Amino acid sequence: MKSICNILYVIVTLLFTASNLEAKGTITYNDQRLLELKRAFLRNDEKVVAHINAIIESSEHYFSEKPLNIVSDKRRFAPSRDPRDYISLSRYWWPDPDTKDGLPYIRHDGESNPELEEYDYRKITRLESTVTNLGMLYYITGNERYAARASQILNEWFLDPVTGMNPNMVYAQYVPGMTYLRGTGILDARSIVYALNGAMLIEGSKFWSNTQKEALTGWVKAFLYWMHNSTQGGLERNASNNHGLWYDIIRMGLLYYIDDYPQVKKVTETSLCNRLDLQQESDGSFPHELARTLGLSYTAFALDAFYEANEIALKVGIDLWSITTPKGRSIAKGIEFAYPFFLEPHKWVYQQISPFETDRGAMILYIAGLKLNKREYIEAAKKIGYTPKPSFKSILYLDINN
Amino acid sequence: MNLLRKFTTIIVISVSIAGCSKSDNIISLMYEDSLLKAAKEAISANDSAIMPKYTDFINYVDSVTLKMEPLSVVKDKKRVAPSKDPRDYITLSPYWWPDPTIEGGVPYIRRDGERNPEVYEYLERVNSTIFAESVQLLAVAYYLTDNEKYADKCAEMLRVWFLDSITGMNPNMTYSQTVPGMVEIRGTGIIDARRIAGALNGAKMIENSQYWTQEDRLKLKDWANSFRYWLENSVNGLKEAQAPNNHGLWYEVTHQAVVMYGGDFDYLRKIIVEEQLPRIDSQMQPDGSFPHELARTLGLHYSTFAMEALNLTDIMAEKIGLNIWSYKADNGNSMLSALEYLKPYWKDPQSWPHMQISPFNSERGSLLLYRAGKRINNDEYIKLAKSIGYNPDINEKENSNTIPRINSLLYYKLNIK
Repeated sequence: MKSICNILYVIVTLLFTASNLEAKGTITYNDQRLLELKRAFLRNDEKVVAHINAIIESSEHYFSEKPLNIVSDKRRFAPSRDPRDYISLSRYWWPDPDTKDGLPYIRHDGESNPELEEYDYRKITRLESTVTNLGMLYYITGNERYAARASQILNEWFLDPVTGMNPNMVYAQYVPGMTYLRGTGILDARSIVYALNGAMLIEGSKFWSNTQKEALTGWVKAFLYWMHNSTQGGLERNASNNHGLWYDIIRMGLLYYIDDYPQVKKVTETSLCNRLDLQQESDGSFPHELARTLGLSYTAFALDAFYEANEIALKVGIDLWSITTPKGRSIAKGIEFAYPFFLEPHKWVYQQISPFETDRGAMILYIAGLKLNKREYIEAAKKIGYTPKPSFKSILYLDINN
Repeated sequence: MNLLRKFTTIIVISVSIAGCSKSDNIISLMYEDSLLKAAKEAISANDSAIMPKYTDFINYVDSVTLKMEPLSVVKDKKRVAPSKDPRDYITLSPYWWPDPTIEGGVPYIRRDGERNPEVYEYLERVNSTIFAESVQLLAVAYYLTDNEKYADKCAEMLRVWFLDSITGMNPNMTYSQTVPGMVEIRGTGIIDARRIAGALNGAKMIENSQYWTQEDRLKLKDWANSFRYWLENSVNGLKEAQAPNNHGLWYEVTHQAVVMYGGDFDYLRKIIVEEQLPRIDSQMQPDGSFPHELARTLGLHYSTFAMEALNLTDIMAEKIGLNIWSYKADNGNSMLSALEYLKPYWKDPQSWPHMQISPFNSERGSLLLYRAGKRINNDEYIKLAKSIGYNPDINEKENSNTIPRINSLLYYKLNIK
């Protein structure tokens, strides 16, 4: 009984916190920064208005675009033949030149196969950016038009009986000809979590009904069941690199969406936190990422993962930045390791077969500077420079350039 | 804060009381609980009308079921679904054969009535049947004897089939009654899922056992809810729900059991009233016949099969205070008009004017008449049922949804003249 009371207490507290923020909040964004952004927009802050207007302009195409779902214009079908099964190609796998039909595909790490475009991957990243931007625009401008379109897209992608995606990723990051099961495709579900941010941002709109919200909750629960109980989910849960991190973040995000805060907490404390010990060396590096042909990019990707995790964890009262494991591992350690290379990528001693995106390093260092109260990191971030694309993800950290 | 705590405590207590009172009254999902109770009482009173049947029953459970290896969808698997996941249930549609005019033979073509022996390489159909039967035998044995050894075995079988991370069936039937090479997605394989419903029925009956833990229960509930999502939202499920014949009726029976196991009683009521009852309106003719079933080569069997589905709907409906046997559609259709239509042929199967290429077992009609008689207080039906009699062949496997060993106990009074 006591624990149930505690749970209810957490829920009630969160509801009150949310109402202070004038929206229920999001899953993976810093809601305080979102609110500040909205206030800055409303008081006509020149810089913010300019950026928001740029996003508004670049968002017009979301209204005229063709349908956004995994069924329309489908070129590659899953072996199930069900167009509602999401299928994407495992990025670094290519036809085997030594076999007649090229099967099974073989791996060239770091080299993206252009056949990617024939599958559903591009669609799911479009879903992510479209719904996020529309949701944010609704939140900031209050214009129902954005909510209406976001709702329509969410409906088409998740809920429609003809076009709605089945709640699993059995065929994500598929490798033609491979006979064993892998869990790696679950990584693609990051986009699902980001799309759910958008769904949360349009709560309160007349275009997002309770029925829709309930139906989407049902979808998310079914997807979570698959993540937790399928063979593929089990494999990904045990992944010893960034995939394992993202597996946890994705389920934390989904659990947060269905208001299961105790489980979010439990995953954070009993699974994600252990991964610091499991994945990080004493020098702060992530050896599984160093082994990649894009070692610096994947190191940043692992740090990104902890950042995203922290945004969710904070909402259930855990600050991952404050955690140092018994073995002495921490996010700060990871930053310490990466810092000189973010500043001067050419000094990277491991492989990096394509140029490193320096903006990513700037953002990671900037947030670390704020979190750890370290001027050095903030200065470094400014020195590296940050040229945000017109997207909300980056606009939240516009002040890097101040 | 204290006030808030008190307040939430009150909410939680009242919610749990309301929740418990609803489900705690229920012994099983798909049996008449009053019959279970009556059988238990008769056995403890050493009633000679039930004891020989009971002795047979418990001997069988002790000597066969208790000693069985747990079954699963991965056990001895020879054919894996296109997903390559051995945990996906897969069976072959029985009347489809390789196309001799195409290299590779796919897509398969239909040869109605001719069973392709390849069917037997897909073990899940027969294994799921035995599994569901065993789980229910053990569950009923547990209820009747209160002996934990039955619940222990039952729980083991349920865990291996549903919950184990290596052997547990994925909560869908995407590849049930699959046709190699066919592009179109069909819903027909969901008819196999009535075994799943049966297994959940058994799981419900061992809920009070120490061997079926809270964790087991929550996990299976999650499984059932996930399966429910698939039934309600997949292409296969959406198609099967639209089937204009017994497949539509059985879809709903499975759906009901799954929803009920998940504890969603309001939704159970909703789907009975809004989904199943309209099928009585739409699947019958004014004379009480089921035209889609009459068109089959086993017309009397399939007509009875349709009634068996509706009767199961009624058994579940009774637990939430509805009576489907007394339902009458605006167009006049009702289960009773179907009963009236079939009654003379159950009495005398030879007089069936449509096709029935295999012998028909009239005892199935007897059971339906008996239950109709009880539900609408009609002695004539009960008398007729008794005159047909009910001594089911306990070895019968095919073409019936009932488990004769259990029904012969539950309906033992049918043979008391």
